[in-house]
Amino acid sequence: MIEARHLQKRFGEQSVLNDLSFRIENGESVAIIGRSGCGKSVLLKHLIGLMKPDAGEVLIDGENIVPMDERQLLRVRRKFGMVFQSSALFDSMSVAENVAFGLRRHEHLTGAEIARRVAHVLDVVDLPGTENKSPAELSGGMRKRVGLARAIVYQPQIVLYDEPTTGLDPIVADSIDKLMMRVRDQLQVTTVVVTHDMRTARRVSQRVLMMHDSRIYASGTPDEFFASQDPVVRQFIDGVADDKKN
Amino acid sequence: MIFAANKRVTESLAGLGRFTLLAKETAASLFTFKVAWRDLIYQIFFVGAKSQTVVLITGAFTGMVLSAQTYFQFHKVKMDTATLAVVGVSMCSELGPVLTALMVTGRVGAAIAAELGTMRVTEQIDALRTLATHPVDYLVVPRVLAGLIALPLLTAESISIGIAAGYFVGVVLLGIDPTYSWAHMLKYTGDTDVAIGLIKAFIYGGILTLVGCYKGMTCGLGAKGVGKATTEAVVSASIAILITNFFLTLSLERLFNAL
Repeated sequence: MIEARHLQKRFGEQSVLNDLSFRIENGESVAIIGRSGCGKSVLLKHLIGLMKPDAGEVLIDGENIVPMDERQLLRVRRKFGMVFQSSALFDSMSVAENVAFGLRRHEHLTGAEIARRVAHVLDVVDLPGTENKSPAELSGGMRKRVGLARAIVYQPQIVLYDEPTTGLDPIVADSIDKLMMRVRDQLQVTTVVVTHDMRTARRVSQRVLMMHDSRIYASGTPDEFFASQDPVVRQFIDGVADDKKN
Repeated sequence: MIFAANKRVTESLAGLGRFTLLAKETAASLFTFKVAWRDLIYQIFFVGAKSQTVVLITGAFTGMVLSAQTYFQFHKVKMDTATLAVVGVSMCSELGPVLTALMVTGRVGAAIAAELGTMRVTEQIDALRTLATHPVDYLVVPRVLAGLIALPLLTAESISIGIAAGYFVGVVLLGIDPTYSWAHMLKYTGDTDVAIGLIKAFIYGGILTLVGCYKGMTCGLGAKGVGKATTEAVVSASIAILITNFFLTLSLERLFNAL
Protein backbone atom coordinates (compact mmCIF):
# COMPACT_ATOMS: atom_id res chain seq x y z
CA MET A 1 0.00 0.00 0.00
CA ILE A 2 1.25 3.46 -0.93
CA GLU A 3 -0.02 6.51 0.91
CA ALA A 4 0.98 10.15 0.53
CA ARG A 5 -0.09 12.49 3.33
CA HIS A 6 -0.08 16.27 2.98
CA LEU A 7 3.01 16.36 0.75
CA GLN A 8 4.59 19.73 0.14
CA LYS A 9 7.49 20.48 -2.16
CA ARG A 10 8.86 23.75 -3.42
CA PHE A 11 11.68 24.55 -5.82
CA GLY A 12 12.61 28.10 -4.89
CA GLU A 13 9.50 30.21 -5.25
CA GLN A 14 7.61 27.58 -7.21
CA SER A 15 5.29 25.25 -5.32
CA VAL A 16 5.18 21.83 -7.03
CA LEU A 17 3.30 19.77 -4.45
CA ASN A 18 0.92 21.52 -2.10
CA ASP A 19 -0.86 19.55 0.64
CA LEU A 20 -1.16 16.59 -1.68
CA SER A 21 -2.66 13.36 -0.32
CA PHE A 22 -3.80 10.05 -1.82
CA ARG A 23 -3.74 6.34 -1.18
CA ILE A 24 -3.10 3.40 -3.52
CA GLU A 25 -4.09 -0.10 -2.39
CA ASN A 26 -2.06 -3.25 -3.01
CA GLY A 27 -2.61 -4.64 -6.49
CA GLU A 28 -4.32 -1.46 -7.66
CA SER A 29 -3.40 0.14 -10.97
CA VAL A 30 -3.39 3.94 -10.89
CA ALA A 31 -2.56 6.55 -13.51
CA ILE A 32 -1.41 10.01 -12.45
CA ILE A 33 -2.22 12.49 -15.21
CA GLY A 34 -1.72 16.20 -15.60
CA ARG A 35 -0.18 18.80 -17.85
CA SER A 36 3.52 18.81 -18.60
CA GLY A 37 5.48 20.38 -15.78
CA CYS A 38 2.70 20.02 -13.21
CA GLY A 39 4.85 17.84 -10.93
CA LYS A 40 3.80 14.28 -11.83
CA SER A 41 7.36 12.95 -12.14
CA VAL A 42 8.38 14.81 -8.98
CA LEU A 43 5.50 13.10 -7.17
CA LEU A 44 6.57 9.68 -8.51
CA LYS A 45 10.13 10.27 -7.29
CA HIS A 46 8.78 11.04 -3.83
CA LEU A 47 7.02 7.67 -3.72
CA ILE A 48 10.32 5.77 -4.04
CA GLY A 49 12.39 8.17 -1.96
CA LEU A 50 14.43 9.66 -4.82
CA MET A 51 13.22 13.05 -3.60
CA LYS A 52 12.27 14.22 -0.12
CA PRO A 53 9.25 16.44 0.52
CA ASP A 54 9.57 19.70 2.44
CA ALA A 55 6.69 18.47 4.59
CA GLY A 56 4.34 15.51 4.72
CA GLU A 57 4.69 11.73 4.78
CA VAL A 58 5.03 8.90 2.28
CA LEU A 59 3.98 5.56 3.70
CA ILE A 60 4.94 2.29 2.00
CA ASP A 61 3.09 -0.62 3.63
CA GLY A 62 2.51 1.66 6.64
CA GLU A 63 6.18 2.68 6.99
CA ASN A 64 7.02 6.37 6.63
CA ILE A 65 10.02 6.61 4.28
CA VAL A 66 10.54 10.39 4.54
CA PRO A 67 12.84 10.34 7.62
CA MET A 68 14.88 7.40 6.27
CA ASP A 69 18.44 7.96 5.05
CA GLU A 70 19.70 6.60 1.72
CA ARG A 71 20.92 3.34 3.24
CA GLN A 72 17.66 2.66 5.09
CA LEU A 73 15.74 3.36 1.89
CA LEU A 74 17.56 0.55 0.06
CA ARG A 75 15.49 -2.04 1.96
CA VAL A 76 12.21 -0.31 1.02
CA ARG A 77 13.24 0.13 -2.62
CA ARG A 78 13.53 -3.62 -3.09
CA LYS A 79 9.73 -3.60 -3.15
CA PHE A 80 9.84 -1.32 -6.20
CA GLY A 81 10.66 -1.50 -9.86
CA MET A 82 10.83 1.76 -11.78
CA VAL A 83 10.73 2.45 -15.51
CA PHE A 84 12.22 5.84 -16.37
CA GLN A 85 11.07 8.25 -19.05
CA SER A 86 14.57 8.17 -20.56
CA SER A 87 14.86 4.41 -19.87
CA ALA A 88 18.06 5.19 -17.88
CA LEU A 89 19.80 2.02 -19.05
CA PHE A 90 23.42 1.65 -17.95
CA ASP A 91 25.18 2.44 -21.21
CA SER A 92 28.42 0.71 -20.23
CA MET A 93 26.59 -2.63 -19.92
CA SER A 94 24.91 -5.02 -22.33
CA VAL A 95 21.16 -5.63 -22.25
CA ALA A 96 21.68 -8.84 -20.24
CA GLU A 97 23.92 -7.05 -17.72
CA ASN A 98 21.36 -4.27 -17.37
CA VAL A 99 18.53 -6.70 -16.73
CA ALA A 100 20.60 -8.90 -14.40
CA PHE A 101 21.87 -5.93 -12.35
CA GLY A 102 19.37 -6.26 -9.49
CA LEU A 103 19.71 -10.05 -9.41
CA ARG A 104 23.50 -9.94 -9.22
CA ARG A 105 23.49 -7.32 -6.49
CA HIS A 106 20.85 -8.75 -4.20
CA GLU A 107 20.19 -12.42 -4.86
CA HIS A 108 22.59 -15.30 -4.48
CA LEU A 109 21.96 -17.05 -7.77
CA THR A 110 24.22 -19.06 -10.03
CA GLY A 111 25.27 -17.61 -13.38
CA ALA A 112 23.07 -20.13 -15.15
CA GLU A 113 20.03 -19.22 -13.05
CA ILE A 114 20.60 -15.51 -13.68
CA ALA A 115 20.92 -16.15 -17.42
CA ARG A 116 17.69 -18.20 -17.35
CA ARG A 117 15.76 -15.47 -15.55
CA VAL A 118 17.12 -12.76 -17.82
CA ALA A 119 16.13 -14.76 -20.91
CA HIS A 120 12.67 -15.35 -19.43
CA VAL A 121 12.01 -11.71 -18.62
CA LEU A 122 13.32 -10.57 -22.02
CA ASP A 123 10.85 -13.02 -23.52
CA VAL A 124 8.07 -11.44 -21.43
CA VAL A 125 8.90 -8.02 -22.89
CA ASP A 126 9.12 -9.44 -26.42
CA LEU A 127 12.86 -8.99 -26.80
CA PRO A 128 14.21 -12.55 -26.91
CA GLY A 129 17.80 -12.97 -28.04
CA THR A 130 18.89 -9.37 -27.38
CA GLU A 131 21.07 -10.22 -24.38
CA ASN A 132 24.35 -9.20 -25.98
CA LYS A 133 23.21 -5.98 -27.59
CA SER A 134 24.32 -2.67 -26.14
CA PRO A 135 21.70 -0.02 -25.20
CA ALA A 136 23.06 2.23 -27.97
CA GLU A 137 21.94 -0.33 -30.56
CA LEU A 138 18.31 -0.26 -29.40
CA SER A 139 15.39 1.88 -30.55
CA GLY A 140 13.41 4.02 -28.07
CA GLY A 141 10.67 1.40 -27.71
CA MET A 142 13.19 -1.40 -27.20
CA ARG A 143 15.00 0.62 -24.55
CA LYS A 144 11.71 1.11 -22.68
CA ARG A 145 11.14 -2.65 -22.82
CA VAL A 146 14.61 -3.39 -21.48
CA GLY A 147 13.98 -0.81 -18.73
CA LEU A 148 10.77 -2.65 -17.86
CA ALA A 149 12.55 -6.04 -17.93
CA ARG A 150 15.16 -4.64 -15.53
CA ALA A 151 12.42 -3.32 -13.25
CA ILE A 152 10.43 -6.57 -13.02
CA VAL A 153 13.16 -9.23 -13.13
CA TYR A 154 13.36 -9.49 -9.33
CA GLN A 155 9.58 -9.57 -9.01
CA PRO A 156 8.83 -6.31 -7.15
CA GLN A 157 5.49 -5.63 -5.46
CA ILE A 158 5.14 -2.17 -6.99
CA VAL A 159 6.07 -0.96 -10.50
CA LEU A 160 6.35 2.78 -11.18
CA TYR A 161 6.27 4.05 -14.77
CA ASP A 162 7.43 7.57 -15.58
CA GLU A 163 5.93 8.66 -18.92
CA PRO A 164 6.30 5.19 -20.47
CA THR A 165 4.95 6.12 -23.90
CA THR A 166 6.32 9.64 -24.30
CA GLY A 167 8.32 10.07 -27.50
CA LEU A 168 7.16 6.79 -29.06
CA ASP A 169 5.11 6.40 -32.21
CA PRO A 170 1.46 5.29 -31.71
CA ILE A 171 2.12 1.67 -32.65
CA VAL A 172 5.09 1.27 -30.31
CA ALA A 173 3.15 3.16 -27.61
CA ASP A 174 0.31 0.68 -28.07
CA SER A 175 2.70 -2.25 -27.63
CA ILE A 176 4.08 -0.68 -24.43
CA ASP A 177 0.52 -0.22 -23.12
CA LYS A 178 -0.21 -3.89 -23.79
CA LEU A 179 3.04 -4.87 -22.13
CA MET A 180 2.19 -2.87 -19.01
CA MET A 181 -1.24 -4.55 -18.88
CA ARG A 182 0.37 -7.97 -19.28
CA VAL A 183 2.89 -7.29 -16.49
CA ARG A 184 0.10 -5.95 -14.26
CA ASP A 185 -2.07 -9.04 -14.79
CA GLN A 186 0.63 -11.71 -14.81
CA LEU A 187 2.66 -10.44 -11.85
CA GLN A 188 -0.28 -8.97 -9.87
CA VAL A 189 1.80 -5.90 -9.03
CA THR A 190 0.66 -2.51 -7.82
CA THR A 191 1.07 -0.20 -10.80
CA VAL A 192 1.54 3.57 -10.78
CA VAL A 193 1.78 5.21 -14.20
CA VAL A 194 2.63 8.87 -14.63
CA THR A 195 1.49 9.95 -18.07
CA HIS A 196 -0.17 12.69 -20.05
CA ASP A 197 -1.31 10.16 -22.64
CA MET A 198 -5.03 9.67 -21.96
CA ARG A 199 -5.16 6.49 -24.00
CA THR A 200 -2.48 4.90 -21.80
CA ALA A 201 -4.24 6.11 -18.66
CA ARG A 202 -7.54 4.66 -19.82
CA ARG A 203 -6.17 1.26 -20.81
CA VAL A 204 -3.71 0.58 -18.01
CA SER A 205 -5.36 2.01 -14.92
CA GLN A 206 -8.34 1.18 -12.75
CA ARG A 207 -8.25 4.65 -11.22
CA VAL A 208 -7.01 8.01 -12.47
CA LEU A 209 -5.64 10.84 -10.32
CA MET A 210 -5.37 14.21 -11.99
CA MET A 211 -2.81 16.74 -10.76
CA HIS A 212 -3.57 20.41 -11.17
CA ASP A 213 -2.33 23.45 -9.25
CA SER A 214 0.13 21.32 -7.23
CA ARG A 215 -2.53 19.02 -5.79
CA ILE A 216 -4.80 16.10 -6.70
CA TYR A 217 -7.58 17.92 -8.49
CA ALA A 218 -9.77 14.94 -9.39
CA SER A 219 -9.91 11.20 -8.85
CA GLY A 220 -12.07 8.54 -10.45
CA THR A 221 -12.27 5.62 -12.84
CA PRO A 222 -11.13 6.22 -16.41
CA ASP A 223 -14.76 6.14 -17.61
CA GLU A 224 -15.75 8.76 -15.02
CA PHE A 225 -12.92 10.97 -16.24
CA PHE A 226 -13.91 10.69 -19.86
CA ALA A 227 -17.52 11.51 -18.93
CA SER A 228 -16.56 14.41 -16.66
CA GLN A 229 -17.94 17.87 -17.41
CA ASP A 230 -15.49 19.65 -15.10
CA PRO A 231 -13.86 22.35 -17.26
CA VAL A 232 -10.28 21.61 -16.12
CA VAL A 233 -10.65 17.86 -16.65
CA ARG A 234 -12.48 18.40 -19.91
CA GLN A 235 -9.81 20.76 -21.22
CA PHE A 236 -7.08 18.19 -20.49
CA ILE A 237 -8.97 15.27 -22.03
CA ASP A 238 -9.93 17.22 -25.12
CA GLY A 239 -6.43 18.68 -25.40
CA VAL A 240 -7.53 22.30 -25.79
CA ALA A 241 -4.97 25.02 -25.10
CA ASP A 242 -5.89 28.27 -23.35
CA ASP A 243 -6.72 31.03 -25.81
CA LYS A 244 -4.00 33.29 -24.45
CA LYS A 245 -1.41 30.62 -25.27
CA ASN A 246 -2.51 30.21 -28.88
CA MET B 1 26.87 42.98 -4.15
CA ILE B 2 27.08 42.00 -0.47
CA PHE B 3 24.10 39.72 -1.01
CA ALA B 4 25.84 38.05 -3.96
CA ALA B 5 29.06 37.57 -1.97
CA ASN B 6 27.10 36.18 0.94
CA LYS B 7 25.30 33.76 -1.36
CA ARG B 8 28.59 32.62 -2.87
CA VAL B 9 30.17 32.00 0.54
CA THR B 10 27.07 30.11 1.70
CA GLU B 11 27.10 27.94 -1.43
CA SER B 12 30.82 27.22 -1.02
CA LEU B 13 30.34 26.18 2.60
CA ALA B 14 27.34 24.04 1.67
CA GLY B 15 29.44 22.38 -1.06
CA LEU B 16 32.22 21.70 1.42
CA GLY B 17 29.65 20.17 3.76
CA ARG B 18 28.31 17.90 1.00
CA PHE B 19 31.85 16.85 0.07
CA THR B 20 32.58 16.02 3.71
CA LEU B 21 29.42 13.92 3.94
CA LEU B 22 30.41 12.06 0.77
CA ALA B 23 33.87 11.43 2.21
CA LYS B 24 32.32 10.17 5.45
CA GLU B 25 29.89 7.90 3.60
CA THR B 26 32.74 6.58 1.44
CA ALA B 27 34.94 5.89 4.46
CA ALA B 28 32.09 4.08 6.21
CA SER B 29 31.36 2.07 3.08
CA LEU B 30 35.05 1.19 2.59
CA PHE B 31 35.13 -0.52 5.97
CA THR B 32 31.75 -2.24 5.85
CA PHE B 33 30.91 -2.90 2.23
CA LYS B 34 31.97 -6.06 0.47
CA VAL B 35 33.95 -4.71 -2.47
CA ALA B 36 32.91 -5.79 -5.95
CA TRP B 37 36.27 -7.19 -7.06
CA ARG B 38 35.45 -7.04 -10.75
CA ASP B 39 34.69 -3.31 -10.56
CA LEU B 40 37.73 -2.66 -8.39
CA ILE B 41 40.10 -4.47 -10.74
CA TYR B 42 38.69 -2.59 -13.73
CA GLN B 43 39.13 0.73 -11.92
CA ILE B 44 42.71 -0.12 -10.92
CA PHE B 45 43.34 -0.93 -14.57
CA PHE B 46 41.75 2.35 -15.62
CA VAL B 47 43.47 4.54 -13.00
CA GLY B 48 46.79 2.68 -12.93
CA ALA B 49 47.60 0.77 -16.09
CA LYS B 50 46.11 3.33 -18.45
CA SER B 51 48.04 6.19 -16.80
CA GLN B 52 51.40 4.56 -17.53
CA THR B 53 52.38 6.66 -20.52
CA VAL B 54 51.60 10.02 -18.98
CA VAL B 55 53.29 9.12 -15.69
CA LEU B 56 56.43 7.73 -17.34
CA ILE B 57 56.85 10.75 -19.61
CA THR B 58 56.22 13.18 -16.73
CA GLY B 59 58.63 11.37 -14.40
CA ALA B 60 61.37 11.00 -16.98
CA PHE B 61 61.41 14.59 -18.20
CA THR B 62 61.05 16.01 -14.68
CA GLY B 63 64.09 13.98 -13.56
CA MET B 64 66.04 15.04 -16.64
CA VAL B 65 65.36 18.76 -16.35
CA LEU B 66 65.92 18.71 -12.60
CA SER B 67 69.27 16.99 -13.08
CA ALA B 68 70.37 19.42 -15.78
CA GLN B 69 69.29 22.55 -13.92
CA THR B 70 70.81 21.39 -10.63
CA TYR B 71 74.07 20.53 -12.40
CA PHE B 72 74.25 23.98 -14.04
CA GLN B 73 73.97 25.68 -10.65
CA PHE B 74 76.11 23.26 -8.63
CA HIS B 75 78.85 23.25 -11.25
CA LYS B 76 79.51 26.90 -10.44
CA VAL B 77 80.48 25.96 -6.88
CA LYS B 78 82.18 22.65 -7.77
CA MET B 79 79.43 20.50 -6.27
CA ASP B 80 78.68 18.47 -9.40
CA THR B 81 78.47 15.15 -7.59
CA ALA B 82 75.66 16.41 -5.33
CA THR B 83 73.38 16.70 -8.35
CA LEU B 84 71.81 13.25 -8.08
CA ALA B 85 71.27 13.68 -4.34
CA VAL B 86 69.05 16.68 -5.09
CA VAL B 87 67.28 14.75 -7.84
CA GLY B 88 66.69 11.78 -5.53
CA VAL B 89 65.30 13.75 -2.59
CA SER B 90 63.16 16.01 -4.79
CA MET B 91 61.73 13.20 -6.86
CA CYS B 92 60.96 11.00 -3.84
CA SER B 93 59.35 13.47 -1.49
CA GLU B 94 57.95 16.25 -3.69
CA LEU B 95 58.03 16.13 -7.48
CA GLY B 96 57.26 12.42 -7.87
CA PRO B 97 54.04 12.34 -5.84
CA VAL B 98 52.81 15.86 -6.71
CA LEU B 99 53.40 15.77 -10.47
CA THR B 100 52.08 12.21 -10.74
CA ALA B 101 48.94 13.21 -8.85
CA LEU B 102 48.43 16.32 -10.98
CA MET B 103 48.84 14.39 -14.24
CA VAL B 104 46.51 11.60 -13.07
CA THR B 105 44.01 14.24 -11.96
CA GLY B 106 43.95 15.60 -15.51
CA ARG B 107 43.30 12.18 -16.94
CA VAL B 108 41.39 10.22 -14.31
CA GLY B 109 39.71 12.94 -12.22
CA ALA B 110 38.23 14.48 -15.35
CA ALA B 111 37.12 11.11 -16.71
CA ILE B 112 35.43 10.15 -13.44
CA ALA B 113 33.59 13.49 -13.26
CA ALA B 114 32.46 13.21 -16.89
CA GLU B 115 31.32 9.59 -16.54
CA LEU B 116 29.41 10.08 -13.30
CA GLY B 117 28.07 13.44 -14.49
CA THR B 118 26.67 11.81 -17.62
CA MET B 119 25.16 9.05 -15.48
CA ARG B 120 23.53 11.69 -13.33
CA VAL B 121 21.98 13.71 -16.15
CA THR B 122 20.71 10.57 -17.90
CA GLU B 123 19.10 9.35 -14.65
CA GLN B 124 21.38 6.31 -14.45
CA ILE B 125 22.32 7.17 -10.86
CA ASP B 126 18.62 7.40 -9.96
CA ALA B 127 18.15 4.03 -11.69
CA LEU B 128 20.89 2.58 -9.48
CA ARG B 129 19.08 3.87 -6.42
CA THR B 130 15.76 2.36 -7.52
CA LEU B 131 17.59 -0.96 -7.93
CA ALA B 132 18.36 -0.77 -4.20
CA THR B 133 22.02 0.03 -4.81
CA HIS B 134 23.77 2.83 -2.96
CA PRO B 135 25.66 5.00 -5.49
CA VAL B 136 28.54 5.43 -3.05
CA ASP B 137 28.97 1.65 -2.71
CA TYR B 138 28.77 0.98 -6.42
CA LEU B 139 30.35 4.06 -8.00
CA VAL B 140 32.51 5.87 -5.47
CA VAL B 141 34.12 3.12 -3.39
CA PRO B 142 35.75 1.18 -6.28
CA ARG B 143 37.11 4.39 -7.79
CA VAL B 144 38.49 5.79 -4.53
CA LEU B 145 39.97 2.42 -3.59
CA ALA B 146 41.58 2.17 -7.02
CA GLY B 147 43.06 5.66 -6.54
CA LEU B 148 44.42 4.73 -3.11
CA ILE B 149 46.08 1.60 -4.53
CA ALA B 150 47.23 2.88 -7.91
CA LEU B 151 48.71 6.28 -7.01
CA PRO B 152 51.51 4.98 -4.74
CA LEU B 153 52.45 2.44 -7.43
CA LEU B 154 52.42 5.07 -10.16
CA THR B 155 54.42 7.42 -7.95
CA ALA B 156 57.04 4.74 -7.25
CA GLU B 157 57.28 4.24 -10.99
CA SER B 158 57.58 7.97 -11.61
CA ILE B 159 60.29 8.34 -8.94
CA SER B 160 62.27 5.43 -10.37
CA ILE B 161 62.13 6.62 -13.96
CA GLY B 162 62.85 10.21 -12.85
CA ILE B 163 66.01 9.20 -10.99
CA ALA B 164 67.11 6.93 -13.83
CA ALA B 165 66.57 9.70 -16.38
CA GLY B 166 68.36 12.20 -14.10
CA TYR B 167 71.29 9.79 -13.79
CA PHE B 168 71.43 9.43 -17.57
CA VAL B 169 71.47 13.20 -18.13
CA GLY B 170 73.95 13.88 -15.32
CA VAL B 171 76.40 11.07 -15.95
CA VAL B 172 76.13 10.35 -19.67
CA LEU B 173 75.32 13.78 -21.11
CA LEU B 174 76.90 16.16 -18.59
CA GLY B 175 79.83 13.99 -17.48
CA ILE B 176 79.37 13.91 -13.70
CA ASP B 177 81.41 11.26 -11.92
CA PRO B 178 79.06 8.25 -11.59
CA THR B 179 80.52 6.67 -8.46
CA TYR B 180 80.52 9.78 -6.27
CA SER B 181 77.13 10.88 -7.60
CA TRP B 182 75.54 7.54 -6.83
CA ALA B 183 77.13 7.38 -3.37
CA HIS B 184 75.94 10.90 -2.52
CA MET B 185 72.44 10.15 -3.73
CA LEU B 186 72.20 7.06 -1.54
CA LYS B 187 73.62 8.98 1.40
CA TYR B 188 71.16 11.87 1.25
CA THR B 189 68.07 10.11 -0.05
CA GLY B 190 66.71 8.12 2.87
CA ASP B 191 63.87 5.66 3.44
CA THR B 192 62.01 8.59 4.98
CA ASP B 193 61.91 10.46 1.67
CA VAL B 194 60.51 7.43 -0.11
CA ALA B 195 57.96 6.82 2.67
CA ILE B 196 56.85 10.48 2.62
CA GLY B 197 56.40 10.31 -1.16
CA LEU B 198 54.30 7.15 -1.02
CA ILE B 199 52.15 8.40 1.88
CA LYS B 200 51.50 11.61 -0.05
CA ALA B 201 50.61 9.61 -3.17
CA PHE B 202 48.15 7.49 -1.18
CA ILE B 203 46.41 10.64 0.10
CA TYR B 204 46.38 12.31 -3.34
CA GLY B 205 44.88 9.15 -4.85
CA GLY B 206 41.97 9.53 -2.43
CA ILE B 207 41.62 13.28 -3.06
CA LEU B 208 41.58 13.20 -6.87
CA THR B 209 39.13 10.29 -7.14
CA LEU B 210 36.83 11.59 -4.41
CA VAL B 211 36.73 15.09 -5.91
CA GLY B 212 36.03 13.58 -9.35
CA CYS B 213 33.18 11.49 -7.91
CA TYR B 214 31.75 14.44 -5.98
CA LYS B 215 31.79 16.79 -8.95
CA GLY B 216 30.24 14.16 -11.20
CA MET B 217 27.50 13.15 -8.79
CA THR B 218 26.50 16.74 -8.07
CA CYS B 219 26.85 18.17 -11.57
CA GLY B 220 24.29 20.47 -13.14
CA LEU B 221 21.89 19.43 -15.87
CA GLY B 222 22.76 18.95 -19.53
CA ALA B 223 26.01 18.94 -21.47
CA LYS B 224 26.95 22.29 -19.95
CA GLY B 225 26.64 20.84 -16.44
CA VAL B 226 28.83 17.86 -17.30
CA GLY B 227 31.46 20.09 -18.92
CA LYS B 228 31.53 22.41 -15.91
CA ALA B 229 31.79 19.47 -13.50
CA THR B 230 34.72 18.04 -15.46
CA THR B 231 36.62 21.33 -15.41
CA GLU B 232 35.86 21.91 -11.74
CA ALA B 233 37.00 18.40 -10.84
CA VAL B 234 40.44 19.00 -12.34
CA VAL B 235 40.84 22.52 -10.93
CA SER B 236 39.54 21.70 -7.45
CA ALA B 237 41.51 18.46 -7.10
CA SER B 238 44.72 20.12 -8.37
CA ILE B 239 44.39 23.00 -5.91
CA ALA B 240 43.51 20.63 -3.08
CA ILE B 241 46.60 18.51 -3.87
CA LEU B 242 48.92 21.53 -3.93
CA ILE B 243 47.58 22.94 -0.66
CA THR B 244 47.58 19.54 1.02
CA ASN B 245 51.16 19.00 -0.15
CA PHE B 246 52.40 21.96 1.87
CA PHE B 247 50.80 20.74 5.08
CA LEU B 248 51.85 17.14 4.47
CA THR B 249 55.45 18.19 3.89
CA LEU B 250 55.53 20.04 7.20
CA SER B 251 53.71 17.41 9.23
CA LEU B 252 55.32 14.30 7.75
CA GLU B 253 58.86 15.68 8.03
CA ARG B 254 58.24 16.51 11.67
CA LEU B 255 56.57 13.18 12.30
CA PHE B 256 59.43 11.16 10.81
CA ASN B 257 62.03 13.29 12.58
CA ALA B 258 60.30 12.64 15.87
CA LEU B 259 60.25 8.89 15.32
